[in-house]
Amino acid sequence: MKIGLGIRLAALGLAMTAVLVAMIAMKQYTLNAGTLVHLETKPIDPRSLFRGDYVRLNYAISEIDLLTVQANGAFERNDTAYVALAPGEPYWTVQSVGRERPSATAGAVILKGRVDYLFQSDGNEHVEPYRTLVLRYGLENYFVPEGEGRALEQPAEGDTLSVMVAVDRFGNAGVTQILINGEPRYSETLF
Amino acid sequence: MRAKSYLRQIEKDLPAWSGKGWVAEGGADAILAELRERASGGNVAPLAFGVLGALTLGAGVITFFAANWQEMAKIWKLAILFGGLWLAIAAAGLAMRRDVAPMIGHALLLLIVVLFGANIQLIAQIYHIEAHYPNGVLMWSLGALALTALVPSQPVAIAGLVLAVLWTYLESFEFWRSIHYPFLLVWLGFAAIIVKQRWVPARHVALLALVLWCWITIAASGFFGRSHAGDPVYLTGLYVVLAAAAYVLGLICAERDWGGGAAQTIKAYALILGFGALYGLGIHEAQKEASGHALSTGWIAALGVAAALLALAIVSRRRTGNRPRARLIDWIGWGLSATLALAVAGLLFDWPSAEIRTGAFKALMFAATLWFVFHGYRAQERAVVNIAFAFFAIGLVTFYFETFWTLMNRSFFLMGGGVLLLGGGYLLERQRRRLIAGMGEQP
Repeated sequence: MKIGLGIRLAALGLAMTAVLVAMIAMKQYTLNAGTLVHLETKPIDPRSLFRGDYVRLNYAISEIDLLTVQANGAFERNDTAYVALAPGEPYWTVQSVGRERPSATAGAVILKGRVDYLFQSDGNEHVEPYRTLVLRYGLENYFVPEGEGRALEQPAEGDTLSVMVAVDRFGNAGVTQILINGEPRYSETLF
Repeated sequence: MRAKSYLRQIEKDLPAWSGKGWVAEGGADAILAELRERASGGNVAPLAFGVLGALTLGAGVITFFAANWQEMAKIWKLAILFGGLWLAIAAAGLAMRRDVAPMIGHALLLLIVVLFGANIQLIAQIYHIEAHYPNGVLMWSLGALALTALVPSQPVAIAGLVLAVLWTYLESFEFWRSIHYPFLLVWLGFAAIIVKQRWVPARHVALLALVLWCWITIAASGFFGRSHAGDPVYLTGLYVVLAAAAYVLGLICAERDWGGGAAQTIKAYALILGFGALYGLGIHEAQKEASGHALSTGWIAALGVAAALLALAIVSRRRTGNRPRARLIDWIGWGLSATLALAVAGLLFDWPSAEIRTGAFKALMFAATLWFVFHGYRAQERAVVNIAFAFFAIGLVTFYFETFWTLMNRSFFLMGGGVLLLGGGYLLERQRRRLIAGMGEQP
């Protein structure tokens, strides 16, 4: 039985709408059901934190010193890595990192990331050995309204920028708030 | 356009058919009159304008919203995104159902694809979704696949294939996937629709996409993948064998009239892939990189499977109908094929030296291009002659550069290169045109 053109196009429209709604729904699930984690940021360019309406964020947990935390497994570029974060005051800190998802200890949160780089050296008489893992969590870019970001391009001395992030049980994360000196400046809503 | 090329072919064939008594007296004139009327009716201009209009409208929509985006509340942004998509769907349905302007209908279907992609990107921006971004391109391509599966549209299929190639490029070079196999699944989806609909331009785009994927896998396995040195060389050797199998498949399709006229296209792209792969195997740096490295059982198995496919194709072809007695050129062809098989097998055993392997593959490429020039001339296949000529010329220029770059003074090298390109190019082109013209006069 040949299905009419109108029905076929309507079915396609519903399917495309469902895909787009699913994108929003998955993000909102993370923001609404996830555990709130307060992360410290490290400026990428201290002279220009905000570039117009597009903010690049770099976190203290973006570079992990594998010589100081518990590290499991070998890491290569584009590998998935699981970072266990423990609550701290005021910021959460890295407890461990591994290729496999660990079982979370009480109060800890497991955040999923992707390996960007691994810098390592066994050291020599001039340089101490190091092993630094650089990760991306999908939290590195944030859009703010045009013009509002420029007002913050030159933060006053002593101002701190931090981010409140929601992490769901799958390890996915989403920015819920951008904070200046602990006060929310931008907040995420559904509409 | 199809009607015009079909008319040209019939005008060539009808005199011979009438001479053999296959077409009744007066029938030939009636057939030509009918085809001329059909050919004059079709016009691709509405489709071209429609496609351009769809793309321009899509771009205008995107730039308008980009300029005014920040001022809008999220709810209004979503309303515009979803509303625009459904408006395009309704308009496409109206245009195609009423049969008022089916060409415009196809352009509106293409607009649906553009808007779906824009929606994916803009929703990702609104909600700060920074997932694995090639997935967005994949979703975009799958949207085009779903659309053309439900409402067959060649422009949509072509757009979807282009997106699929972009997806595999991003996965391979941005995320270091050595051989991005999932592309083949998406490609098969589009290929099935294109074969069923017998679209000719889309067929070319599909086969070109496959050749591009092969190149991407070679480049990615060599430079970005977690591969062993030599993987690109073994992969290239595998593609030579698979291209030969595809060429024989094209011959079978031609003889059994499979694929709705796809035989010539399959053979042409098989030649492009095969010659391109042979050219790659003649690069000394690549062969040197492969030397001395143990070959995994995976590669041996893959080459074995490819060789089995080629053997199956050859056996299958030999079983079809009466075969004319093999001539000298056929024996030369068999000899070349056997030599090529030995050379590819030589990759497995890491002998002889990289220099000898490089020279062998270069010589094989020149010999193969010359053989196909003569084979194409004999079989009256212009595309085969043109492709073989093109790769012969590329090989010649490369050989000149590789050989004389270090041997000659720079200025003499450049002057010599200029003379080679000008003079050699003129001679090759003149010879090619003579061959092509001579093919038209063959009985």
